[in-house]
Amino acid sequence: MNLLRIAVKELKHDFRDRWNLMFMLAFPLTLMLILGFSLGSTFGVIAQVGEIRVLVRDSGDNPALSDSFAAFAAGVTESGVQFDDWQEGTEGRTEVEQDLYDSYVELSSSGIHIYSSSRNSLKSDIFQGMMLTFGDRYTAVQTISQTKDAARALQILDDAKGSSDYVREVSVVAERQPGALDYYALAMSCMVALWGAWSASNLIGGERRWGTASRLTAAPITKFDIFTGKVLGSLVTNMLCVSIVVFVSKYVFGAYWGDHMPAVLTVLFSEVVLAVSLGLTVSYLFNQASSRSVLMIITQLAAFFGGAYVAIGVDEDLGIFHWVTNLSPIRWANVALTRIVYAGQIASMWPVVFLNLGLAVIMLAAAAAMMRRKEGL
Amino acid sequence: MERWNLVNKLIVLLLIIAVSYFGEVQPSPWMVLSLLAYIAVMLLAQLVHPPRLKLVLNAFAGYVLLLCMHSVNPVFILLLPLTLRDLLNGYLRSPYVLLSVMALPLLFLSELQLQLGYAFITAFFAFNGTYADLLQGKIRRQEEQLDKLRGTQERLMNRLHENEDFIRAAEYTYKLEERNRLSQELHDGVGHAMTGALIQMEAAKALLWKDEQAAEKLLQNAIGISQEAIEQIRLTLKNTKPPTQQLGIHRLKAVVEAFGSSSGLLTTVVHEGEIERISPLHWKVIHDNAAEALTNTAKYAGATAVHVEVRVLGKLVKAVVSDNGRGQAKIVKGLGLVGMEERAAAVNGTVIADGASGFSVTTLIPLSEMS
Amino acid sequence: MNVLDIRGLTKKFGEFIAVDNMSLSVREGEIFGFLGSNGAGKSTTINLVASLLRPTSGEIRILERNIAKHRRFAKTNLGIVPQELAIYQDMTALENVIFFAGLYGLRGEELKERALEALQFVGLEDKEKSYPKNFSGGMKRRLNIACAIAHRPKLIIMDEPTVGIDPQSRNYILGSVRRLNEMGCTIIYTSHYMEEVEEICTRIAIVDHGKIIADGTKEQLIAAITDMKNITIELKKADPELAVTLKQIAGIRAISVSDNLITISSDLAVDNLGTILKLLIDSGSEIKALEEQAPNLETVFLTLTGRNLRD
Repeated sequence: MNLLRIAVKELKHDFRDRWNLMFMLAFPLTLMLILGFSLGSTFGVIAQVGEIRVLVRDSGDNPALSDSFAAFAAGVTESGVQFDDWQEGTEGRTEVEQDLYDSYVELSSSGIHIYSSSRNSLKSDIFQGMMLTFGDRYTAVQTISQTKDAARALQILDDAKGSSDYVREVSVVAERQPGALDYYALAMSCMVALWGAWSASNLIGGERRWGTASRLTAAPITKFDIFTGKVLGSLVTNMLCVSIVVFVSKYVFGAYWGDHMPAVLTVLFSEVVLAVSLGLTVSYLFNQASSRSVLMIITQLAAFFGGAYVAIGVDEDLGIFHWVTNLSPIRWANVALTRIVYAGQIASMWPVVFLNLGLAVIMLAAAAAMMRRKEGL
Repeated sequence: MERWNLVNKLIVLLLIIAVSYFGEVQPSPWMVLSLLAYIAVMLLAQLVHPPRLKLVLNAFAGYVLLLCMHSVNPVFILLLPLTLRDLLNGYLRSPYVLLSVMALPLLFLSELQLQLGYAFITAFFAFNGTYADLLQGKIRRQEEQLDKLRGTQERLMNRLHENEDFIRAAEYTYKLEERNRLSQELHDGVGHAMTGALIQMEAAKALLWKDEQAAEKLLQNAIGISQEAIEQIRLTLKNTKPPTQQLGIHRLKAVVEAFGSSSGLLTTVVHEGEIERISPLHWKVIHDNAAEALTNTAKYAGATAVHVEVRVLGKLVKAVVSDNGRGQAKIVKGLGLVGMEERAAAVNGTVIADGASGFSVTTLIPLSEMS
Repeated sequence: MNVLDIRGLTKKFGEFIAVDNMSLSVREGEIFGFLGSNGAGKSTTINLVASLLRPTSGEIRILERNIAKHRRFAKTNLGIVPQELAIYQDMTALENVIFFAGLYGLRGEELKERALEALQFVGLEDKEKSYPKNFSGGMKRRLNIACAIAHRPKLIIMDEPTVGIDPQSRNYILGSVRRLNEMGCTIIYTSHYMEEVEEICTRIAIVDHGKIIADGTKEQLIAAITDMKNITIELKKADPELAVTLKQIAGIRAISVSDNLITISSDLAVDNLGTILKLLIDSGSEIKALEEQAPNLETVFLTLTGRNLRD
């Protein structure tokens, strides 16, 4: 009961503190808007593959191949591949070299030959992939047709003719690319969650500063009540702040948060737990002023390397910064959230949640031990 | 030790010069330059005092050595064991480890002559150096011991002098007091009585032939007075001890003055109130505490004057010893203070030590109701 | 019954001894004054009693129970008004009192009633919804007291409750201390304002360097250092004959007359000022000035420690 009393009191402190609210809510939301809209253009460039142009020279020696290829060509044209027939007097390879075409295909009795441009490797890679599928399928049909059951083979071939299923869209981001606002909504929420360390560092120091520590200690309640009550209050406050940031960004700014809100909130809340324990432990290890600066450094470094200010992609190759960014709790949460929101990989939350809670338990235990040893609060 | 080191290096250097400079037909000027450079760095390393700088310079000397060895003449390596020893001596405790580190470069030498020379120099100086270190350590320890003994002796002498002074002062005061008391009592008692007897006898003489009876009565009076006076003298001589209350303050004064003359501090003793109310037991506590406080002042305070005050208040005696020294912001109780507290506690008193401005020790003792 | 018993209490901070083998008892119904300069060990003693610090050695009993063993009992029966303000600036006066009284196990309607009662007691009943940040220094101090008394403790410890406030608030606070005492509370009051302690305390302990160097009623403390008072009277014209007649008055020990100034040393215990005045008036002397120099606690403190209370 006393525990709840203290928790409620902490809530009152936090929500009556205008500066705290400004810091925990207004600041991240504003930053989200500014960064989201001003950096919008750098995020808008989605790599457009465009049309793949292919020059085809069919010598006509192999009617079966020509037939199959025609069917294939008809099929993949829908997927944005444009086939041009070879004109007399041109050299296919030169055309490709001059970047008039992305690929050059020769069909003859000896088989299929492809010359691809190295200028746009993406396009030629895609086309090569298609051709590989086509080749496999053609070889399969040919093999079958040489068997006794030719009728069956023809049947298969017929089926294959109508099929345009050479390219199946299996992409990581099938429906959506994160825009700048979406990215920062996510990153800022992670950052606000970590900022819980700030108010937590003030939990005990604040009572000392206001002189109320003596009254709390003199009251017939245990240190355990005070400690857990305070931690609880701080957790609730910070979780509320994070939730507000998440929902405002979702419903007011229209940021994309995916379809797995419970998982998203679980990750963020576990980070709040981590942050609160961090703040508390630091406040026991250092005095008032230095614990502030220590936390300032920790949270700002974590925010920077976690990609809260400068966007860092989930799968980006960061070289030597890789391990540095991986030290930032914001980064863990950010990566997990990106996977949950954009790829629906709910399972990716567990390692982060367990890591956060595990670290939090260790730090809380340390803080509790230090509190027990200390006289007064 | 420094000189030992330097001479060692010079000897090896001479060897190197003999081998390289005079061994060659046309000694290169680089050779001379590098030799001089090494000598300069080595001497500089000997001259500087900060250990860290010394280390850096020694390391630099080693570096110069390696450079010379590499680009001028490999014979310079013969100096390496000495430089290594300089560098590592303070850090490696075991002489065997030191020896093995010094011998390490042996593995990289190819020429037999150099190997032999290197091994010889290493073994020779490692042994010599270790032995010299050992002896030096012994000398240092003995010197320390000697210093300590000297200090103790001085302290003991001081204490002896103090005690002698105290005894002298005490003896003198005691004599003085006794003489004063005797003269006072002789004056007060016997002197008055004799004067009285004399007057009576003069009167008797005048009346002797006129009124025999009256004269006889007067003479009888004079005889009585004389007898009483004799008895008084006897009593005075028998009762050699002066009253305690007088003794208390006088003895305190004597002790403080003796302390002042031995320590060179300016001392003052003040008393106020009815000091006869202080019992001998209380006096003992006051004396002992004052003596202890004075000793502390002499030891730690750095004071030039010390003031002793005994005041009898309504129901308390307050004895203060205060000096004008540097005081002590936060008082840490030493044995002295604890002893004073214990003594005071035996008579229900308290001791307050204050170091805010100078150092003061106040002993408060409640006076018992009967006195 | 003794509300507080301290036996051989010692508290060291490292090498520094803040409380030095202190022993004292406070009886029920007393207003016990703790008088001493800053840093004398008053606050440390109080913090030890309130379980804010752990003693290095010694024993503390509240209502005859050892607080080390009956911590909850001791804390419930104790109200503490800390020297520093101990209130939340961002909670209303009522919220403050309710929060702290709630920690003592009060609930629901009773809690609110007691809190309002406490606010009324310190004269803040019309400020229950205001925030302390808008209060004057005196009002904050009063709220500080309200937070300590709502749970009706048997023993209230007030550590310098009047530091830095206006005389009016000070009088109000001193008045409430008396009223609390009349309601049956035992009060320990620390201050380095000698006048306050002299005015309200029934028994006083003088603390210096962590030790109690004297304790008793004001009269006992003064008697410990002297039994004399000085009376100086200036007359328009002093007749030396007066000295002879004045000498007859009970308690007078010595008189000196010089010019028109009569200086009398008299027994402190005898109240003879009236008689002296009557005699002077009857003799037809015209009194121009009169001063009685009786020793007070300040004198006691100065005499015993050699320092002023406010050094």
